[in-house]
Amino acid sequence: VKELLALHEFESDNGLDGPEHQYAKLRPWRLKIVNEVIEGKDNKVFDFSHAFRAQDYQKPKPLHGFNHVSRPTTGAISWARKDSHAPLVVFSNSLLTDLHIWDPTIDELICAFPGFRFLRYNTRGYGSSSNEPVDVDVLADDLAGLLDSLGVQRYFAAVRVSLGGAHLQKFRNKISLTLRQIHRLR
Amino acid sequence: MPLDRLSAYKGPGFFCVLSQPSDSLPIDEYHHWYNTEHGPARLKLDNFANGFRYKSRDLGRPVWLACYDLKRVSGLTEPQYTTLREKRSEREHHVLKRMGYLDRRIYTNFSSRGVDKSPAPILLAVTMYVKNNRVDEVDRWYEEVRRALPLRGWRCAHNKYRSISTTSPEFLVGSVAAAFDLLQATVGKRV
Repeated sequence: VKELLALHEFESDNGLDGPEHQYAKLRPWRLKIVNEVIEGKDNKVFDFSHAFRAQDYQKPKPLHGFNHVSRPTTGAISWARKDSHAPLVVFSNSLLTDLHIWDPTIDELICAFPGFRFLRYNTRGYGSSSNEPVDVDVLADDLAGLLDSLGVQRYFAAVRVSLGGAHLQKFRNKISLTLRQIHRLR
Repeated sequence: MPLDRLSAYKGPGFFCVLSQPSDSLPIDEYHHWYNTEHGPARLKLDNFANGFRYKSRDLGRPVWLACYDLKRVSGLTEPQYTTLREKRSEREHHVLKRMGYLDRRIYTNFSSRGVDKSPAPILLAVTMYVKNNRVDEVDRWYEEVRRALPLRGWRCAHNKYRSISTTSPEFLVGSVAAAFDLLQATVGKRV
């Protein structure tokens, strides 16, 4: 048995499924083909939507959806509105996970809170981050470096799981951000 | 045609990919990636003669077809193309992880008739499983239909052999119909 694909191209105005098509489907030779020569067939109709052009290529932009920020920590920022001053919520994941554990959460949060930005990132050794010995201090410094490279001086809130909580605590102790500043942001 | 013989096939062919984003991949992000990164990167290669996208008409949740005419089927084994797949951008990785359904198909050209003014507004894709290599008989029938009963608005038809599937094993299915059944069953689920 050989798989044969017949691609028929049509104008928008066409006789598909019209009386002439129905008539053609009942011709003896067609019935012979369907009943004796082929074991099965499948028809699908598609509408044209887009033509690719080489000159449309755009290198994926750093701040469009998925963002490759700086090694050794890489992160992604997502937001609904393009406002680089919108309050930022930081998500810090647990051991043995990468930033994608937050994906479903972020999708919902973006819809629910379009005025916020959401940052999640890979800690050292995960995703495309570097692979070096690590402790909670290093992770805290990495986050500081990541926020610095993004031009973020303060964040609105931090969401953390497990190890993410430990190094966020270290981070809080290290940076000049005070609780008072966070309250003011609220 | 096994993958190792793909490199031996220097003739022209056809390459198409059926895909559908899952719920976690917003449709705008999917189209933006496809139309400004993935497709254009392929059209930069000399092997890709053209590239078009189509949207299924009859399925509840649309499936998108990307199709390319290849100057050489063997071009899919050349480094200029394989590098694109091995060194994907981080964004492309992120998009593909959230693809609900993906099916790649490679064909070699068999026969063509009519006047090709690609891209056509409407595409009718008919997949047939032909017994005992009676492909020539099917082809003669097509020629007769075209001569005796041309449908209004018909431009051209291209007959192609399915030569290889590089789809992941879950989607190695016997027919397009089965693929679409599977698709209906997996809608909304990640693969």
